Amino acid sequence: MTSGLLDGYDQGGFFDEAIGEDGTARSGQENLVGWFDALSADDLRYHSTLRDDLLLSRGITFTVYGESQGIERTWPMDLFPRVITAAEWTVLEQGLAQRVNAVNRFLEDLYVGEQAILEDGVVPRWLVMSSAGFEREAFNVAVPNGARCLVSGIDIVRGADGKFLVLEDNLRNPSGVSYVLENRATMARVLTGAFEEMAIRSVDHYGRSLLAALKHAAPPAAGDDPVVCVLTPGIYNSAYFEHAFLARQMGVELVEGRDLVVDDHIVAMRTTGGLRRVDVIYRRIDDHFLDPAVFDTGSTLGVPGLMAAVRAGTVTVSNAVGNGVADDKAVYPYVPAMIDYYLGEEPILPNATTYVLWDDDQRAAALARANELVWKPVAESGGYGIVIGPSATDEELAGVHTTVEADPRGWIAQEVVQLSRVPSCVDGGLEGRHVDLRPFILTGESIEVLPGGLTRVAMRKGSLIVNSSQGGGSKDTWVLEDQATGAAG
Amino acid sequence: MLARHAESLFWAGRYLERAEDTARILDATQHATIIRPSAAEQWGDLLIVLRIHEEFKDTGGEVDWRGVGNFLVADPENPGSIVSAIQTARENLRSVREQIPSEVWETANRFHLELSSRDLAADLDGEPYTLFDLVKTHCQTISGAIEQNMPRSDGYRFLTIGVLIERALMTSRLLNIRWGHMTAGTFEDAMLTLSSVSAAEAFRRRHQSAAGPVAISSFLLRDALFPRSTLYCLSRAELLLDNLVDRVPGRGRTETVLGRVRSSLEFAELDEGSVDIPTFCAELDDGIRQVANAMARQYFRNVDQLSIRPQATVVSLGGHR
Repeated sequence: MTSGLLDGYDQGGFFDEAIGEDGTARSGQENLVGWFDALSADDLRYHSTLRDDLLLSRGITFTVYGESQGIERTWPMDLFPRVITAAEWTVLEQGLAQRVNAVNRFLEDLYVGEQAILEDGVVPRWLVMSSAGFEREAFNVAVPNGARCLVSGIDIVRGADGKFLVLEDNLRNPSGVSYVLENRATMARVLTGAFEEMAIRSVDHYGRSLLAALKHAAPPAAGDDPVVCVLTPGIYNSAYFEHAFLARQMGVELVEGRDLVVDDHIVAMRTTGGLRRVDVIYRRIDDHFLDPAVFDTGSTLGVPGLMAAVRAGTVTVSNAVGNGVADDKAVYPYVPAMIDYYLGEEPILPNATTYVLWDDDQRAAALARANELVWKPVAESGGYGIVIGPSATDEELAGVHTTVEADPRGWIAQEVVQLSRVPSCVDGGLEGRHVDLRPFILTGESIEVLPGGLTRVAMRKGSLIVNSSQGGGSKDTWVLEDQATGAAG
Repeated sequence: MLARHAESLFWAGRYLERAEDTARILDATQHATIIRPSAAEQWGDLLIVLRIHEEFKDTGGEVDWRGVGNFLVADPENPGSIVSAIQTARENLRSVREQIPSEVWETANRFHLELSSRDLAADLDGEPYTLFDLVKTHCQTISGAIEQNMPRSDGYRFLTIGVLIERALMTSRLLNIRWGHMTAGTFEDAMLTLSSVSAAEAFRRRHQSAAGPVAISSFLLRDALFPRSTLYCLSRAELLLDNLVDRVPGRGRTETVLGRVRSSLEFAELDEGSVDIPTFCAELDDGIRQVANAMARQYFRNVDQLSIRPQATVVSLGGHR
C-alpha cells in the first residue's frame, strides 16, 4: 500500500510506531499513512512552509540557554504525527495514574507522615536524606488533599519489543504541555487533510482541567472562588512561552516575584487597584528561588516571606516544595516498590533497567561495560550532563569513570533503550526517527491524564537524544478514540 | 489588573504610536523637501519635535535627509527610532502576551520580523514612501487588531491611554515648532504642518478657504472630530481613565492633573489670536508629561496603597466601557 512517499521506507530494525513489520500501516493508522504516502516531495515542502510561517508569526518559540543569537527559537514540530491507539492509551493512562498516586503518597509520608516507607526499610533513609531535592523547609507543611505533584510529566519510551517503559519522572516543574496544545492547533491548520477519518481525542481542555485542579488545592479558608496565579521567573526563562500560555489558557494573572508581596503571612499581588490577595500560586520557578528570606540565594526572582505564608496555610504553592526528592534519578528505581508499598499493586508501567551506582557490585559491573550504558547525573533535567556509552568518546567514558567513582550517589546507569521510531519529514521525504513521550498528569479531585502528551523526536539520523534543549524536535501526539465503544478510550 | 502589566501596555501603546507618528512626520517632511528644497531646514526642527536633538548631536550625523532619516528609522542606538520603538513595543507586548488577544501579539511580532528582515538603508535611498507606507499600514493593522479583538478591559484602557498621551504630545510639540514657520511662511509651510499629522484633508473639509496659522493651530489643538487633535486625545484619555474598573475609588492625582490640563486647553481663547502658541504648547507639553508621571505613581507603582484589600471588596472585572 505504500507506493508513494513511503515507498522503500526502512524501519531499520526498530519498533516503528506507524509502519508494522510487514511494511504496511499499523491498525488504525491506515488513513494517515495513506494520506502521507500520496504526497509528493513538493507537497511535503509546501506543508512545511505553511507550518514554519504559522509558528513564526504566532511566535511559538522556546529558548536554548547559552546561545548568543537572540533568546528565542521557533519551535520545531515535525509534520508526521505520532499515533497511540485506544488500547495502548488505556494501559498508559492507568499506569501513569498509578505511578503519580504512589509518588504523591510517598511525598506525603515523607514530609507530613510517619516516614513509614523509610522505617520499613523499603527505601533507604540515607538515600532520601542525601537527595538534593529533599527539602527541610517542606517538613510538616501540609498540602491540601496531598496533591503534591499537581502537575507531573513522566517520560515514557518504547523499546524494540514494543513495550512501554518509564524512563524518568518530572515532578517539580515539568514543561512542554503548551507545545502539546500548540502542536495540535498548528497541525489542524497546516495539515487539515490528514485529520480526515481519524477520530483523535482532544487536548484543548487542559487549561480548564489545570485551573480546576489548582482551585481544588486552595486552602479551605479561600472560599468558593479562589484566586489563582502563575508565577514565572520572567521572559528570559526558557519556558516563559509556556508560562504565559498557561496563564492565558486559564484566564489568570501571570506574575513575577516582584508583583507579589507578603504582609502578615498573606500573599497579595500588586494591581492597579492596590494589593489583592492570592490563594493558589502555580509556580514555575524552582524551590530554591521561591523565597530569598528562607533559601538565602541572593536571588530576586522570588517573594520574601512566601514560605512562611505557605507554612501558615494561607496560600498553596503548586507543585509542592520538596518534590525533587521523588524525581531524583537515584530514587526513581524505588518507584515500583512505592507502588507496591502504598497501593499493594503491581506496577503497570515498568522502569527501564537501571543500576544504582552507590552499590559496589552494581557500580563495578556497570563501569566494566561503560560503553554500553547511558549515564545520567541524578539531579539534572532537560538532558543536561547525559553520556551515552555507545556514542561516547574514550575521553568522555574516562570522565564517567572518574566522576562516578568520586560520587557514586550522584549518577545512575541505564541500559540503552532502542527507542521506537516514527516516520519524520527529512529533505522532502520520510525517514524513521527515534521518539519518546511525555504525558502530563494532573492531581485534582481525581488523577487525570491528558490524552497524548509531548512526543519528542531526535531529528538527527540515528540520534537517541530527543530533548529540545539538545536539538530535538517534536510531534503532535494523536490518541485515537476507542472505535469499539464509540467512547473515549 | 497587575500594575506591571498595566505599565507594559501603556508603554506598548506609546511606542506603537511613536513609530506611526514618526513615519507620518518623516513622510510629510521628506515630501516637502523633495518638492521644495528650501524646506531642508525642517530636518533640524523635526529632531526637536521628537525631543531627540541632543541625542542626534552625539551621533555626529549631518542634519539632512540621509542623516536624520537613518537616525529616526533604522538606528538601533536611538530608542526613538522606528526600529527601536517597534522592538520596545513588541517586548512590552511580549511581557503581557497572556493579557492581549493573540492577533495583537501576532501582528506586532510580524511587523518586527518584517522590519528586521528588510534592508532599511536601501529603502531610505530608494523610495522611502514605500517604507513609510509599510510602517503606517502595519501600525494600523495592529491598531485594527486591538480595536477589533481586545476586550474593553482595563488592559485595553491603559494601552489606549498610552497611544493617546503620545499622540497628544506629538501634536502639541509639532505645533510649537512649526508655529514660527507658519506665521512667517507660505501656504506650503502651513500645509506641511497639517500633513505631518495627516490632518490636511480633514482640515480642508472643515475650513475650505481659511488656512491661517490661527485656524490651523486651533484645529490641531482642539478640533472636536479630528482624532489626532490634542483635545480629542485628552478627552478620550479622561473618559478611559474614568471607566477603569480596577482602581481605588475616588479621584486620584492623575485624574486631577488630566482634568486640569484638558480644561485649560478646552477653554483657552485660541481663536482670537491673543494666545502665544509656542508658550501655550510648551505648557501643554509639560502638563501632559505630568499626567504620565502621575499615572506611573498612582497605577503602576502602588506608591500610595500598602494594605491588602479584603477579597469582599474586589470588584469583578465586568464589561462596561
